Amino acid sequence: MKILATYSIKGGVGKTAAAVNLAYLAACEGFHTLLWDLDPQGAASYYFRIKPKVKGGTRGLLDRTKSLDDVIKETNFEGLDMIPADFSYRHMDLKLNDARKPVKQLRKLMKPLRKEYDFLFLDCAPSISLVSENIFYAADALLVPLIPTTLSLRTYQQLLRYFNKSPVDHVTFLPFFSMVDCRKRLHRETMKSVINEQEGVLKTVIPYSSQVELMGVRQAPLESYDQHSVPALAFEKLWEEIKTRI
Amino acid sequence: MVNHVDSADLFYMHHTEALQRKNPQPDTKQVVKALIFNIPRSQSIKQVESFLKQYLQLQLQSSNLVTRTYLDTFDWRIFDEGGVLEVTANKTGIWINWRSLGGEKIYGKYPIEQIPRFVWNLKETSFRSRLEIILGVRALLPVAIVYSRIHSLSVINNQGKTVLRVEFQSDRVPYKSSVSKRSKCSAELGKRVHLLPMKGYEKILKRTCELLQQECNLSPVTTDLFVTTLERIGCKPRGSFHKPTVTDPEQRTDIAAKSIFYHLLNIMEQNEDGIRDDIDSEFLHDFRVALRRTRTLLGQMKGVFPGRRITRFSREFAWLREVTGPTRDMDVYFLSFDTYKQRLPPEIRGDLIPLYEYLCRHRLKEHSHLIRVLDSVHYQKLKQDWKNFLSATPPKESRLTYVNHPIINVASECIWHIYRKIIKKGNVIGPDSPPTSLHQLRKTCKKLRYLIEFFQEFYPENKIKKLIKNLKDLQDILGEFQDLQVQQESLRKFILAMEQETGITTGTRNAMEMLIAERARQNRRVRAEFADRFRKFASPSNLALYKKIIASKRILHTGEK
Repeated sequence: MKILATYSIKGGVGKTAAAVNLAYLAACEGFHTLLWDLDPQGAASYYFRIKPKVKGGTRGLLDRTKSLDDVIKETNFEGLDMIPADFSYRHMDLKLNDARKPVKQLRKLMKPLRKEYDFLFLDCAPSISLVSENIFYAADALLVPLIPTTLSLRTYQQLLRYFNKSPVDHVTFLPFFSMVDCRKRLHRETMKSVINEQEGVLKTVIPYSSQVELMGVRQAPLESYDQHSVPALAFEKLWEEIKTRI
Repeated sequence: MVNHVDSADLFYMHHTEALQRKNPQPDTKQVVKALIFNIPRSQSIKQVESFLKQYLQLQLQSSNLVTRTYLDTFDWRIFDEGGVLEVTANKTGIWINWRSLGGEKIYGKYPIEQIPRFVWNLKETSFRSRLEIILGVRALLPVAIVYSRIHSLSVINNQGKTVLRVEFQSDRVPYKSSVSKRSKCSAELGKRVHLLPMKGYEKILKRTCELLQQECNLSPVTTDLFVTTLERIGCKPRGSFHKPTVTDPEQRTDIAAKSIFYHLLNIMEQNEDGIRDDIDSEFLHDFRVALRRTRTLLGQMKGVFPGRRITRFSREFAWLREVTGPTRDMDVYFLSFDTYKQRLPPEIRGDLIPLYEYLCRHRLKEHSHLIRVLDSVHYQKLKQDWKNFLSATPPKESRLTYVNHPIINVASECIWHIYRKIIKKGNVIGPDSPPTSLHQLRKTCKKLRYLIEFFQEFYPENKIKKLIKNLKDLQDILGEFQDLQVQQESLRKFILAMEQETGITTGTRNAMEMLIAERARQNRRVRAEFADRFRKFASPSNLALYKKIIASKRILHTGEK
C-alpha cells in the first residue's frame, strides 16, 4: 500500500480537491483505495456525502478501542472507501502528545490496512503540528499543491526547511501547481521561476476553475460527472505523472 | 425441468460446514448471513420493488442484461477456499468480482478489459496479490455462464449517500440439450433480490433483510447462484484431486496398493487433456507428481506383486518420466524467467530477451514431442496393461511374502526402511561431498514423503504432521540446492546451444554468466544451511518419534514374518 498525503501548511490551496479526485481516479483503475479525511472541517467527507463523524472519535482511535477498519465507510464509487472526518480531530495533537512515540502513532494505526488497500490518500488539515509529523512518518509521498503566489511559496520553503532538519528521509516530495490562473502575469512568472529554481515540481498544472468549485454543489468527485472538463483532464494527467514518481 | 435445489442446498451446506471446520474463527463483523432472497412465482419484481419503496428511499441506477462468466482453476482452488470469481459483462464494460460463496463478503471488484487467463494478466493490485496466493500459476477456466437481467437500485440516506445496493435479478443458464447436441437450451434459475451491503452501513442492511423476510415474506436463498448453476449444468466441483490415501490399516497390502495406483492413474488421465491443450504448466506437473508417486510405491512392492511385473512397469514408468521431463524443465525455466530478470541490474535485463526467445522455441518443440508421446501406441499400451494389471482379481493365495499382510505393517516397514536410508546417506555427506550426493538424498526424501502421505491415516494425526514438517524442512533446502545447481548447468548449456543455433551477443552472454555467478553464490549459501537442517532431521527426538509411531508397527515387531 502506498500512502499519499495531500499536504500544505497553507490553507485553501486545493488539497481536498486533489485528494478526492486522485483517490477517485486510483479506484477507477481498479486499485483498492482509501481516503482518510484528517481535516476536522470535513470537506472531503462532504464531497462524498458521508457524515463527518467517527464513532469513538480521536480518542477511540488512539486508545485502540476502535481500529481504522471499524470506522471505514464505503463511498458511492466502486473500490473507493473513506475514513470520514470528525470534529474531535481538532484535538488530535493533544491526544498524540499523550501517547508513547507520539510521532509514529498514525503510522501504527494504518499498518493493518496495508494488505487490504493499494493506495491510502490522506487529506490533511493545513498546519504544521504533531499530526503533520505523524503524517510525514507514515506517508510515502507528500503531494504539495502550490498556488503560484508569494505566500503559498513561502510556506513551501518553510516545509523544505523543516525537512532539512527532520530525521524523516523516506518521503518523496511531489509539489504541483494548483488553482493556476494563466491570465495572471504573476502566476505565469512565479511558475516559471519556481520550475527553474526548484527540482521535482510536477509538470502538470491544475487550473483554477469553477468546475472544481462545483464539486461542492454536486457532492461528488469532478471526474465522476464532468470527466472531459479541463480540470478533470488535468487531474488525470497529474495522476499519471504521480504514478511514475512513486 | 427437474428442480435440483434441495440437493444443491445440501451440497452447499456441507461445503460451508467443511469450510467452517477448516477455519473455525467466527466472523464477528458479519451482521446478516442471508443477503439473497428468492422471489416466488406468485410475486413479481415490480411488486417487491414497490413494497420496498414504501419504507426506503430508492433510486434507480440501471437496468440491463449481464453475462456472468464464472472462473476457476482446473482443481477448483477458488471454490475450495470458499470463494467465487465472476466476470460480469454488460454494455458499460467488464468487471471482475471476487466474493465469498454466499456473497456476504466482497474481496475485490474492478474493471478489466478482457477475461484474464492467468493471475498475472490482471493489473498489479492488492486484489491480484491476494488472488495469486490461491491461484499460483494455474490458469483460470470458464466453468459456467449465466445470463442475468439486472435491475439495480440504490437505497439512499438523508445526505443522498448510497447506503445499500439492491439488485433484482432473473437468471438463465445455457446448457447443452440431451436430445440434440447442436440445439442450445437455457434453464430459468428464478428471480432473486440481492442486497449488496456497503461497509459502514450495516444497520440499513439488517433492516432491509427484516423487511424482505418478515413483511414481504421472501425466503432467504441458501444456495449461491454459482452452486445452483453448477447443479443445473451437471458440473461437480472437485474431482479426485486429493492425495491418495488408504484408510483401512487391516486391508491386504496388494489390494490397498492397487487402490492407490488406481487413484494415481486417474489423476494422470485427468491431466492429459490439460497437457495437450497447454492450459497451464500445472497439468504436466501434477501428471509427473502422480507418476513419481506411482514409481515410489511400485519400488516398495517387492514381495507384494510378482517381480517380473514390477520390473516391467518400473522400466516403462521410468521411460514416461524421461520423455515428459524436457517439457517440464522448460516450464520451470519459463516460470523462473522473471526471477532471473530480477536478479540482474535493470540496465542489462533486456539482454536476457534472446534467452526467452530460445526457451519459447524449444518449449514449443518439446511440447509437441510430449503430445506425440501421449498419443503414442507405446503410452496407450502401457496404460492399458497397467489398468489390466490393476483390475485383475487378486489371488486368494500367493507365495509372495507380503501379499497377505495388513497394509499397515508393510507400509510401516517401508517408511522405516527409507527413513534409515536417509539417515545413512545424510550422515556421510560432508562439506566436500559432490552435489550428486545431495540430489540422491533429495530423491530418497521424496520417497519417504510420498509413503508417509499415502499411509498417514494409520498414524496419530498430530504426530504425523510433525514428521512431515521435519521432513519438509529438509526437503526445502535440498530442493532449493538442486534447483540452483540445475539452473547453473542449464544456463551453461543454453549459452552453448544458443551459440550454435543463432549466435549470441556479448551482452546476452555476459548477462547469462552474471546469472550463473549469482546462482552459484546462492547455491553456496544454501549448501551451508544443509548441515544444520539435516542435524534437526536426524535428531534423537525425531528418531524417537519414528520409532514410536512407525517402527512399532513393522512386520517384525508384530511377529508376522
